[in-house]
Amino acid sequence: EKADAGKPTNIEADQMAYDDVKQINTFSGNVVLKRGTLIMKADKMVVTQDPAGYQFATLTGVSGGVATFRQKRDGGSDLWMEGQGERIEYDGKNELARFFSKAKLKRLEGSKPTDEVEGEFISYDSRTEFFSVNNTANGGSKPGAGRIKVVIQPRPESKGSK
Amino acid sequence: MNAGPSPRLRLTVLMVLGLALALGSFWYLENTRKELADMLPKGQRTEPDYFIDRFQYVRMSTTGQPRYKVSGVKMTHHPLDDSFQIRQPVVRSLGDERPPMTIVADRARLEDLNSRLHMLDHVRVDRPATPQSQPFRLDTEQLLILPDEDIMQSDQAVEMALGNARMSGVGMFANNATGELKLLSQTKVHYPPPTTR
Repeated sequence: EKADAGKPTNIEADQMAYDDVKQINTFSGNVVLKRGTLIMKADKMVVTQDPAGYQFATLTGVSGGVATFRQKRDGGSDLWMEGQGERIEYDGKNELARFFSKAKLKRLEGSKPTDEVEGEFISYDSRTEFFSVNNTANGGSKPGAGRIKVVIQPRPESKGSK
Repeated sequence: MNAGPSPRLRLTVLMVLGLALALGSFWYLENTRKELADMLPKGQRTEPDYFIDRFQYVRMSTTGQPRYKVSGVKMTHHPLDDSFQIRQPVVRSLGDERPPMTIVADRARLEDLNSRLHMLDHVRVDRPATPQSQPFRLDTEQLLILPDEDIMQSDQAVEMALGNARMSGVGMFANNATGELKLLSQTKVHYPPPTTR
């Protein structure tokens, strides 16, 4: 949700290795990043920071594991967005999450998924809550590269029309 | 009719034998006591044998460059293990290729021909910001400095500030030559919200 933008970022992990020369921070083992309602988990995460203090993180699963993403959506008390991929690239400045290979993204109301999408690459802009799906892991689209699957649940009759 | 040796001769032989026995045992006793004395450490001193007040010394690198300046209120030498106890130690890194770093503590122990410096109790490391690197501060209760390898490590809880980030963990390793900094377990990092929106 939009309010996340002004929130601090907290990271927990087993280990951290910081390279003072390149100013890159690598976290490993049960990595959890929290920023407001945003929660991302992975086995490994590499973080850089720009002068203004925004973080840019690349999260990866280890040996076939996936990195996961969960964030609240505006416009309702219990609306969530959940995603996963073998790699997630998170741009803290533009609040853009990009899911790579075996990527999945789900919209949920409470714990009930309303829409689901799968593909090789999904890009989700959490400010506009707009996402796009492509069928190649580098974010492009190539005919015959892979299928995209979208499941859109039927919307309940809007209350007014009864 | 003198059948056997005369009593005088017998007496003399007996006296000579007795004398030899006495001298022999005396020589034997003397020898054992001497050996024993050699084996025993020569009055090994367990108490400190000297101390230096308000000292300052510079530790050179293996290639002869000044690497660390160590100063303190009092430095006491312990002959038993050839170590030093230091009160109010202050360690400053020297050399212009890296930002200056200051390490203070309540006390320290210097051992292994001055190659291992254990900083103990209220240890604080401070490195000011430079154009190339962010300001760095570390707080812990125990920090081992290996000046020759330019390494600092701790196996206890550490709190750090690096730039605007706050970090904590248990177990830390830093190689000042390569700029490597590690937290070994229970890592927590807090980045404050970005400055501009």
